[in-house]
Amino acid sequence: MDHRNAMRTFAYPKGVRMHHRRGLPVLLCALLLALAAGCGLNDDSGGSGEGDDFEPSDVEFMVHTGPGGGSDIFARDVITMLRDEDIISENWPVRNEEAGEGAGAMSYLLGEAGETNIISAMTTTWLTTPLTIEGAETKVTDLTPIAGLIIEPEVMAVTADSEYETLSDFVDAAKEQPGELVQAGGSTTEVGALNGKTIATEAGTSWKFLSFEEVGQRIAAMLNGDADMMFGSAQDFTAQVDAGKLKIIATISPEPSPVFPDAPTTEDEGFTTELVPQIRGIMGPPEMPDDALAYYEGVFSDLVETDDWEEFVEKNGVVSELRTGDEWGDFLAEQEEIVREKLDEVGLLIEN
Amino acid sequence: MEALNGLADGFAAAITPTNLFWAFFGVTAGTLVGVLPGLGPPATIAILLPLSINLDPATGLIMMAGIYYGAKYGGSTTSILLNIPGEDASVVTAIDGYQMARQGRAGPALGIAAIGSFIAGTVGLILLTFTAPLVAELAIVFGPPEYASLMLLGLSLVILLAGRSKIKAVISGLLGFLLSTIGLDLFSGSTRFTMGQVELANGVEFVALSIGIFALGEVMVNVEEETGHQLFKVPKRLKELFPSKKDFRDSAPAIAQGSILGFFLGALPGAGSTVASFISYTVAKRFSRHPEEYGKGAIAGVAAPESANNSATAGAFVPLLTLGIPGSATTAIMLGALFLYGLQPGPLFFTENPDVVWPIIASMYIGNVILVMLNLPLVPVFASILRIPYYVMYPAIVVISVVGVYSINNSMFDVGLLVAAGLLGYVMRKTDLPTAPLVLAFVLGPLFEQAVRRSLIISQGELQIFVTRPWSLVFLILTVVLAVGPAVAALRGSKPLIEVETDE
Repeated sequence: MDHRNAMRTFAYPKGVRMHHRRGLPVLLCALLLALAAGCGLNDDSGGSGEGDDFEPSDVEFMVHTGPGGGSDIFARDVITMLRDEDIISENWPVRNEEAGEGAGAMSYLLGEAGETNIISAMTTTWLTTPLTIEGAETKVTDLTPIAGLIIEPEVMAVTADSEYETLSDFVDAAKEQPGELVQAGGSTTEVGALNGKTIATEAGTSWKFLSFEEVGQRIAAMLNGDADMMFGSAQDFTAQVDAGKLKIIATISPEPSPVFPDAPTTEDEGFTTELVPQIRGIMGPPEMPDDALAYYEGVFSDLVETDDWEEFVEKNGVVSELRTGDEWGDFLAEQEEIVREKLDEVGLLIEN
Repeated sequence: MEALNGLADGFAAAITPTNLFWAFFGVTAGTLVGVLPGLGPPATIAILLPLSINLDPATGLIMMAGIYYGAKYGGSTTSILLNIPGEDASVVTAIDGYQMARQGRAGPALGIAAIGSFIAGTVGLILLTFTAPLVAELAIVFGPPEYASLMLLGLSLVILLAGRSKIKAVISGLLGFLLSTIGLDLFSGSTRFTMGQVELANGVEFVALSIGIFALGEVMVNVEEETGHQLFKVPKRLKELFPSKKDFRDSAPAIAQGSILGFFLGALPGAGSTVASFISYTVAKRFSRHPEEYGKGAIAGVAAPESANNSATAGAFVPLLTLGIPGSATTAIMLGALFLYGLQPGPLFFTENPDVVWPIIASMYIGNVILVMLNLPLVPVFASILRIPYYVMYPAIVVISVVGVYSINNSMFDVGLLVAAGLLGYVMRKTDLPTAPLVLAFVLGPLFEQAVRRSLIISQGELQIFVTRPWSLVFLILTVVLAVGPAVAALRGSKPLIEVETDE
């Protein structure tokens, strides 16, 4: 792939494109600004404009991961695209609330009830956290749904020389030796673990789940034979697949993966129990005023129409699925119910 | 020779004014980030991502790499001078570095940190240049049982080889282990010892804990003993500002082993430079002829971790560039940046993108030279900070600690944690409990616990897995030979091999 071309097409704001001579001061300012933001300079003056032209000022874009985490990078990319397309005129600083796998970010939003100048990126983690972490009392359904943006079908990878060519091969092998084969993944409450359990249960068998903090460790575990397979995002595997180290044998969703369209879906393989999708969307504080809600819905509806977004979606191997307002709220409530059932089945559900 | 050709091309590309400028910018920003507690290299790189994405891929990566290894140089400064670790990988440097500063030897400590970093960083790069594909294979071989045995070796070295009282070291280590279990358990999905506090679900913040125990604990003890006497001996002559010949002799073995160990530990996904700094410190102590000097200002106790953490940054590039697997938080973000450039680091990266890989590696050689030239002249400047009277210094330490810890997560809860850790550090000093085993167990403990649990899941609960895997067996034998044997011998009252029981 020619990266220079890729770079050019993946345009970033012209204003930010800098001349090297001016680079240092600009960057130093950026660093200072970042430090200032890090020190929590936070003024609460929300925008007070009324009517159709409502545009809140001093908007903060919150994420529940640290700088460099999945949602953090997502938010920074989204802000860059929004500014590049002049959908927003001011920069939105990213606010990292890392406590408790989304619990801190959700309770922060709860405390900003009625405010117009804070929104947050959310993922499926926001559904599992209130149901698994003691003290995480805020639920997604307590917040204002703004927009659902992305559904990310996970894919199933095995080593290139693996005897398994399809999901059914693996499941059949697991039936012969229940509880022996190993799936690598993250925490036992994450999407991949829940979906693995669902498929095993539907097939009437079981396999082991091996937790690792980092994706790299999971891939390494497959390469050295400690794990037999893993579920993950397409992006995690493309380099290994190109190099002939891994192969993708299934898409863990009813929809095909845009990156590996040839990998059969779970439905193709005859598994019909509902799975939990990996989702990304935007939430606001409770009781967000209507004009503010309409403004943000407009911003994100505009975003998904842009070329930059199209390219972003393609590059990341995800599916763009815009839902706004009540439709997004209903979808979340529905997903929460599915997640609750799954967690209950595996005995991880707690009631806060 | 392919590597030499690649490196030569890399140098040609790295020595353009643009690339040199961004390498310089990166290492300077990295040094600053390392000096100040709080904002770490991963956060800095993430924040600068939208700007660096406008540069050429090689140039952007050159800057990011500069921030990464530059921070390891800077991290030692506040550890040594103020007992405030500026960065995770410099926590262990504070143990002996601060004691040296108190004895008026801040200059030699800072000097050896810079020189050790330079030598180890360069050795790490040479290893990266010539052995990357081989080491990558080794990194993959490392599965859960191998990690478990390696961590056991590290933990037993520090606890069993502790100073005056082994029991106290064990208590301190267990305390660290206990603190490390707080938070969300990856394996069961349940929370442990969080008492319903969501702020504790991600675990105790390491920077808050270490700064509290080291810096605040020290300040409290000193304020209590407040006598107005001079806390630091201030060096008078210029000669005292730089390491002496004897210092170099004492540090040489530590720098050598730190260079090698750091590289390999850095290359293991999940280990990284903090673990490397701790293990290198304990190895230096184990093989020292004067282990009793450690914790009281041994210069090798500064040289070892500072060498290891720099060499580890070169090691961390091995799995990133050869396998597309990031070995640390910082390289994980750099992987994300490579994706944004439309590049796919993986097993084919070296052959398909030599125009990106080699300039990055070449720029790191250059960056290391820039850093040592930048840091050595600053040694006298930094050392003169100690002339500041204690009634200014102490409040400053408290302010830097609070602001630094707050800025990590924008969290007042962490500031509370900092104060609690400070009180803990105070109590530990009053009861003569050593602090090093606590922080070590806090870092290695979770890795050990997770690796043991993973191993037992794989083996269906059979313990043989730890002896049937060759590397795991090697580490277990080393644990017995290096740590358990001498400790048992010492406890039996036979002639102590390495430890002399002395009174304060």
